[in-house]
Amino acid sequence: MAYGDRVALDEVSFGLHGGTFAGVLGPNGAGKTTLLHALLGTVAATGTIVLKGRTSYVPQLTAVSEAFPVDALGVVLMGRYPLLGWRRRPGRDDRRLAGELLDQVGLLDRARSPFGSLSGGQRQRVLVARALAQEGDVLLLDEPLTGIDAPSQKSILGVIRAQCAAGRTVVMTTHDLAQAARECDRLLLLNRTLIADGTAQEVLRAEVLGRAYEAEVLLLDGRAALIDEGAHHHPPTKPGGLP
Amino acid sequence: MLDWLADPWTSALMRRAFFEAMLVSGLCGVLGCFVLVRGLAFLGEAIAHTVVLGVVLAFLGGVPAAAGGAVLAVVTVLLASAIGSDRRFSVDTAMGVLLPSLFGAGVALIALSDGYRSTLADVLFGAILATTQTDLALAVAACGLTGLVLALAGKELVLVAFDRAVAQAMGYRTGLLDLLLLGVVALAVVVSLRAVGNVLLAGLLLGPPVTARLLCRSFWGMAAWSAGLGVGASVAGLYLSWYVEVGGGAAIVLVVAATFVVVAIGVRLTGRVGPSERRVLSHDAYTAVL
Repeated sequence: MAYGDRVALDEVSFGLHGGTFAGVLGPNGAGKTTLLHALLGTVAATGTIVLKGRTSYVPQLTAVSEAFPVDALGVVLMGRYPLLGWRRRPGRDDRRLAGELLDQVGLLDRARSPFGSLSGGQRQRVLVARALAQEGDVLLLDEPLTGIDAPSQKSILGVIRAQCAAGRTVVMTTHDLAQAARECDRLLLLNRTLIADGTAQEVLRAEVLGRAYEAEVLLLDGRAALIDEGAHHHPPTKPGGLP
Repeated sequence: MLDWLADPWTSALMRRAFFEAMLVSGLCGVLGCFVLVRGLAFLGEAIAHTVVLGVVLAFLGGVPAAAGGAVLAVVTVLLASAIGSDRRFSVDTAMGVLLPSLFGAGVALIALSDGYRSTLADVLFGAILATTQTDLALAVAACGLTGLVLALAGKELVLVAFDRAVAQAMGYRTGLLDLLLLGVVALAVVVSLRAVGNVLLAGLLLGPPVTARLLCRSFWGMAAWSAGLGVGASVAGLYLSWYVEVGGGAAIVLVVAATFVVVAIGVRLTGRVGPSERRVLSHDAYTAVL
């Protein structure tokens, strides 16, 4: 996978069973977001990607406009658009489903609130509900837990577990190693290539982390700590609305 | 009172002007909402100026003005997106370069060609009273085409404006949807040019949407309000121009601006401005209106 002549990710090969919750880890610029885009088919990848069923996608919160005139329910209904096709508008069934999904993320009472008036965590929950409205088989989330409040994190993790229990595959990028170790069934450690793939015990070992994070890993009493904790949002894209 | 209201309608010129103004302001009102939420306020303004070159070229080449204007609108958008695709420049920068260059070329051409000089004022400020049956037919066609596009792909265009990455992930061809939107915006600009002129066009394209955004929380509600405000302003503006004897285009845009000021003050006084509303309006949009 490459942007221009810069190869963002090379030699990545893995398979995930249905019902798996996979966490994608790695330092900034490791290619985590690129991996999601390759799975979505929005960046060109050489090699084979086989996905069973359709994908739903939750982008990084910073990529979504706060000023847009739309309420929480309206955002969730957007998830129905690909299923409706051109010309048709969301109907009563779509609205009922959207309401149920907002209820699942604990925001039914905010259905009519402008999207921009919600907190970051609430907006992220709305975006997760929109992805669920697509009824995809593979759910891809780009740093859904970064920089949001604890109740929202809990709500989103609860939704993800329910999706896995229903047999869907979930892939989430994250910077929080400890949280990924607690929550995910499977960890993929990236740095321009797949460094490690396995359970938390297999992946979160000092010598493995050292290979991915290089100088950013600190060894304390034989345990690894990351130096680059903190904000990891991607820089905002250029101003102006044209492609 | 009834006489006062009916008087302007006795003139055939004014009747056509009323219909033309209502059509183009409704059209601009709806499409301006897309321009506004996409953050393309400056693009609307730039197109309104660069099409002058197309109109003049069309005049010199003996082809319909609308065709020349449409070509230049498309050229502007393509050039802007080509310059903007360079990581060092934003699309706004590209517009800042294109607007004066292409508009300047248009004005220079007008100066050089003898026959065109008389209608320069029309290009700049519009000639709503000179509306012909052909103009009306063009405006009706533009409204119909836009209505068709919005009926087919309206919700998809809104999705792309709100969240491009997800629209792509859902499999939509966002580039094609952009072209579709820019195509109808360019059409609206060219059709409106005759009515209000390019200097005042930005006011018509952005004023009603900005005002409507202060009143609405949903996109389509905003579009409906915006179209209504535009139509209302064009009727009020034409009455103003009939009784006070100012140019029709100028009067319409003055009413648009006055409505915005009144609504903005009213909304602020009644405290109806939430945190999201305060962030809505770009500086560009305000400048274009004022």
